[in-house]
Amino acid sequence: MNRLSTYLLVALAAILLLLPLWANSGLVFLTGTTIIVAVFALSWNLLFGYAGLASFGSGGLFSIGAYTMAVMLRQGYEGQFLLLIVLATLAGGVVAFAIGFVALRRSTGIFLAILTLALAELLRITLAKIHWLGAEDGIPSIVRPTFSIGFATVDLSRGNSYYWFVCIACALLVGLTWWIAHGRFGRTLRTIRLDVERAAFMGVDTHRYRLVAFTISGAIAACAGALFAPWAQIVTPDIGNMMRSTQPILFTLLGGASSFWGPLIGAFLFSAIEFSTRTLVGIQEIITGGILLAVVLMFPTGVAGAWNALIAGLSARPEPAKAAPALQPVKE
Amino acid sequence: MTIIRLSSVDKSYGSLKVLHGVDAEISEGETFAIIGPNGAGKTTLFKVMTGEIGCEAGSVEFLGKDVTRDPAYKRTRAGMGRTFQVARVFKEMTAEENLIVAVEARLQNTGKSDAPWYAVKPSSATLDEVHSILVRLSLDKKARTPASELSHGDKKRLELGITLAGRPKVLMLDEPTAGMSPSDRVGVTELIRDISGKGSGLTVVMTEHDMGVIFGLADRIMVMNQGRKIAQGSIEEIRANPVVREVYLGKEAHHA
Repeated sequence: MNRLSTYLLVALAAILLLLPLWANSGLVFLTGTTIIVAVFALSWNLLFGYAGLASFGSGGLFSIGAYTMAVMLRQGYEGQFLLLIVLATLAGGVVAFAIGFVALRRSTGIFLAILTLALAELLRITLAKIHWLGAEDGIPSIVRPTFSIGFATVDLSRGNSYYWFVCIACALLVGLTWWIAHGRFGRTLRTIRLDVERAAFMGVDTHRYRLVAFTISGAIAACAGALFAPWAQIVTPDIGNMMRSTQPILFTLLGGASSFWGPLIGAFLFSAIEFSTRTLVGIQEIITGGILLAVVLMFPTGVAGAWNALIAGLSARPEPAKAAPALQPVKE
Repeated sequence: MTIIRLSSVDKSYGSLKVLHGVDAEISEGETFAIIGPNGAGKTTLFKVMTGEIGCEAGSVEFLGKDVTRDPAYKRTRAGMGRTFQVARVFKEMTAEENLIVAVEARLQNTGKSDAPWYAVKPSSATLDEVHSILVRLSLDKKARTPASELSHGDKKRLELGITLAGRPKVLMLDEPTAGMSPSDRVGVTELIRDISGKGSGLTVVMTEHDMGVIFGLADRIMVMNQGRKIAQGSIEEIRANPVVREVYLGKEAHHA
């Protein structure tokens, strides 16, 4: 990543952290939601941009994380909040592993897309029929927990404290995802997306790598869902509907799949567009759709791709020859 | 010692039978060429050997072990390295990155990965090895060129490098000079001879159309026609074989 992009990222992080000091609660709520779905989108692109697998049912895993959290908080386990996040994350990972174990051996591409879509819808319909989980109405009045971390008590129920908790948790998740995507594992995943057969002929167990990626992606999606439940303070079956599953796809299209940061950029741009057109009732969707279409047609590599091309154009100077080639594992 | 043994391999695509009970024994250290006219079944046989496709009957033994049911990645781990007819490299990655992932895959498969679990960048030993492969392939000046921008010949070299990074016992080359210019062809032939030279212990199995390349490299030749093995032997034996002359070398032999 070039220096300018790094500055922009740091600036964005600073704006997000300081936001509650000046913005109204509506904007803070929208921003917190955007941060969570941005991480959710990153987890999806770990599959799509790195392993080359398109899931259309990621909303289902988001939902599993959110419901796990909601139920446990309702049962009064708020004191173990951090453990609950881990538990919800594991729940997503286990479900993703089970689906991947059965599905990935036989189907990738369009079959996987349809299968995951169907499974997510099945989950949504099932959730709407379970009375213990509030059926169609879901679980309302979810508390923002207060818990102890040994030397101190953390109270997330007051003011904007949960917002900052979401910021920190999501920063950690972004860091984790970045590390997974840029290390040896991420490099190997890219070879699988680029040419699965060639990767196999390097001795890579491509099925296993895809399964692990599917599991990690599902776990992170569920973790995002778990953070979302106390944020929205209500979960309903629609939390994991098709709109939810489509979100990461749209964000990634807008931001660019070839860049790690693409989905994150896409999520914030999307929210910004929606926010600035919120008063234009009736034509909001047309404007949003129009912008998305324009970006996809004009910049096939998304905003991140266009940005990188711009930076490359500005800084195009002959580089001095180097004795040993330095390393640049992932195009940013 | 026999390193690869094929026993009465049958393979059909739908109702079309392309391999009829093919037997072959490839010895350690030799360069073994499979030739034959178009549609003879060379590439299919090659694919059955490497595990790209299965076969209906017969068996494939590698290093004395039956690998007929083993997927490609297991055969690769056991020591089979291959290239493709049309060079397959990771186009979005630079030449250097292509080799990094290949070296890392081998280290991982052999349990010799020296990078700590938390490392993002490849280890310096990996980078050193990558650099030495680049030099050997005369690609060191193009280390940071995206593979998609390499010339056809350089792509072939890079693919060979990816395969060599796996330190195979058998190098399986599917038409290594296909579609190359005559000068590239000479270069790659020399490169293969250099890699598989005496003392390297490397076994090479190749299919090839270019007779010049074959006669320059092969120790033994197997001739296929219509899914059957019709002859096998040294270059001289194959040249002298009347059946081979008729079905395959016919025209060339008369012109020569």
